[in-house]
Amino acid sequence: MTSPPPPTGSMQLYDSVTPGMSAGLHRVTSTVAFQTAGSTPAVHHDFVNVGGSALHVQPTEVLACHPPRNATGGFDDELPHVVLGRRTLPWERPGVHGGPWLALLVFLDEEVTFSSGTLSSALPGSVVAAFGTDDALATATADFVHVNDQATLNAVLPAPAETALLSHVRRVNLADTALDIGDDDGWLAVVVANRLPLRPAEGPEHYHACLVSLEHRDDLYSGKPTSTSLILLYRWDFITDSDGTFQKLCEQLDIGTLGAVPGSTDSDGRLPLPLTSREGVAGTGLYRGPLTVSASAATTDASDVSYDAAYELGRMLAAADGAMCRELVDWHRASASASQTAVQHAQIMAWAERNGAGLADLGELPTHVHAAAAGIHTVLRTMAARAPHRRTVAAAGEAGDG
Amino acid sequence: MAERLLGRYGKAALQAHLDRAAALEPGDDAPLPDYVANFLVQLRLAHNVPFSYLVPDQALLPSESIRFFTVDEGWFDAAMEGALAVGTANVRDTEHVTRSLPAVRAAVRAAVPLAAGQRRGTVTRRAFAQIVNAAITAADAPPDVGGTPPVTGMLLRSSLVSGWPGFAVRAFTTTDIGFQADPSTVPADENVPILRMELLSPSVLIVLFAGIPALVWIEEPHHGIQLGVDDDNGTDVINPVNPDGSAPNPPKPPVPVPLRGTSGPKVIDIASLAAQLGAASPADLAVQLLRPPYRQRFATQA
Repeated sequence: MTSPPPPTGSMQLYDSVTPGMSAGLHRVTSTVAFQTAGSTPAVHHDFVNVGGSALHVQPTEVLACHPPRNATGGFDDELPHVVLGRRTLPWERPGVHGGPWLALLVFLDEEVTFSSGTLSSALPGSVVAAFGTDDALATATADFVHVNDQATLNAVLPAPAETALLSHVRRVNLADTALDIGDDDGWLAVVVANRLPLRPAEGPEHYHACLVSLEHRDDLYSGKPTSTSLILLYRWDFITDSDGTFQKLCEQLDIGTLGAVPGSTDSDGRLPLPLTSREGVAGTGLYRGPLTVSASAATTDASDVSYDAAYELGRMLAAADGAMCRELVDWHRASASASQTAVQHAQIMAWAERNGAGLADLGELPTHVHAAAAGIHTVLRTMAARAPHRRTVAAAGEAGDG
Repeated sequence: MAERLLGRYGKAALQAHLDRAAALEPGDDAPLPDYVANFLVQLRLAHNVPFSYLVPDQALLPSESIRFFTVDEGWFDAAMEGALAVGTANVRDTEHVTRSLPAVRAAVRAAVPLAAGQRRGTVTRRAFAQIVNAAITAADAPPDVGGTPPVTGMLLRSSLVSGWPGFAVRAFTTTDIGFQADPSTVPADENVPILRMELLSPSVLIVLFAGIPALVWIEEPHHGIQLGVDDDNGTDVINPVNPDGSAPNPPKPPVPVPLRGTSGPKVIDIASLAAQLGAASPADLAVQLLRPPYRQRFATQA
């Protein structure tokens, strides 16, 4: 168990992982080894009950099942299987002929019925007796699957030697999220069914995948079976249909580039949209989204509103985000106070130069700071005329010039 | 002003003021706040952009279709400029935006390829903003954005998206990748990184690539790696593989799947199948039954 996990993208397969102790009552015997004349030390006995439910598999133990629960599709070449998070689970109890106690059986809807109740309500007396006389077990409620006729059960039930072949353990790298399916130690037990779902000629076909217990069920293989009921530990349903596999859907995809709607978009992939100008005149604007065929959407066409729409959207998204507004205002404020300090610096240096005050110059300041010191108000007033209240459409190639 | 300061506080105060000024950044500018840098990069990856802005007409993306595209950088430049226009209270602020815009735009554009790392948690928001700010500071002249790879992508609208959550998309710069190639063996420079892969609605998936892929894969999800049989002209067969899972060379003939009985339920005779495949143990049999996930390839035409 201390060997390094397999590399990402790989997995290791193991035949089985048997627990150190099987379920049931264990006796621990301890003695002290010394000798005195005439007496031997007392032998001490302790009992340990290794539990684990014989009647249920917790839904949390089931990491994945395939075909997916309630999925519809053509699963006719896929073997249903269930992935269990506890790697020892299939081998924790004795099955038939030493095999695992879990088996995954797949039935058509009309082949089975389900019920729940105590053990004695569904199973023959000999099987109930084999489970022992534990009161808790006798009164506990379990789920059962009843196969409608013996022939169907015989056809589906794996032979004792096959049950062993149908359970294995996988070890994957936990970093490989595609494989570990949310497991916590990278070890997974897998129980596989032996029945391929049929692809129906028409209409959907409803299947039940049933994880059943084979513990104490030697009677099923005795040649004279007394019951067609099994303890149902976990169950999910799926539906086969004449199409709907991943492959089929992929092959039927309509492939193309984003851009043109015949009869609607122009040669640049722009879509005409009704538009009302600021003056209230109804007209048509051209819009093209950011996802296009050719990257250069540059146009000087006044009716192209693509970039104006983008500008407005960006503004609205930022304005709708409280933290964004706050941070932007802080950014402006910090910048204003920084430039104010710089302007004062330039003023002081200019004054010092005039009056020979002998202050140490503290490095180069950008020219715009000196310009600002000379007359920031004049500069800003001239700039106000081209403040970007509404962005004019600029060619994408020269969009970097500000 | 200098006279006033000197008269009131003396020469020491003046010098202190000069020291404060010297401690400012060379560009005399406050750094772009972390949140803003992250917001702008997210915006460039079309986060929170309403679907109707991305796909203005339904006919552009019919159901059961896949559409490839290039991202119009100018559109996102405009959106970014709009976002930065928020919170300008006066002329000084608008001037601040106008002055910073070229450097911010170039820095954010250049930082977009890092967004993939940020989404995976390998780059923190703070570190990310520092990278953007370093790029802003370094950019005295607006850097040449032609060097960053163009952002391309694909939109997929299909029941694949809702029915097979977690399927994988991979993109490569060359079409010279084998059909069953192991993606981990492909050289890193032939992979096109994915910047964003997200559901826009239960059945619409957007994927953005940092670069121009020549080959895009859609791969069936690996959930529990499937077990099953192959179809050979209507007959169920198993194509035998080596015990380590690799394909045998020369290939072995396919083994028809033995069934129990002749009619009724299609139940595999597991014991007989295992014997025919030479699989003595459960793990051996599992190796033979494993099916590689289906891959659909979309390649540029040579």
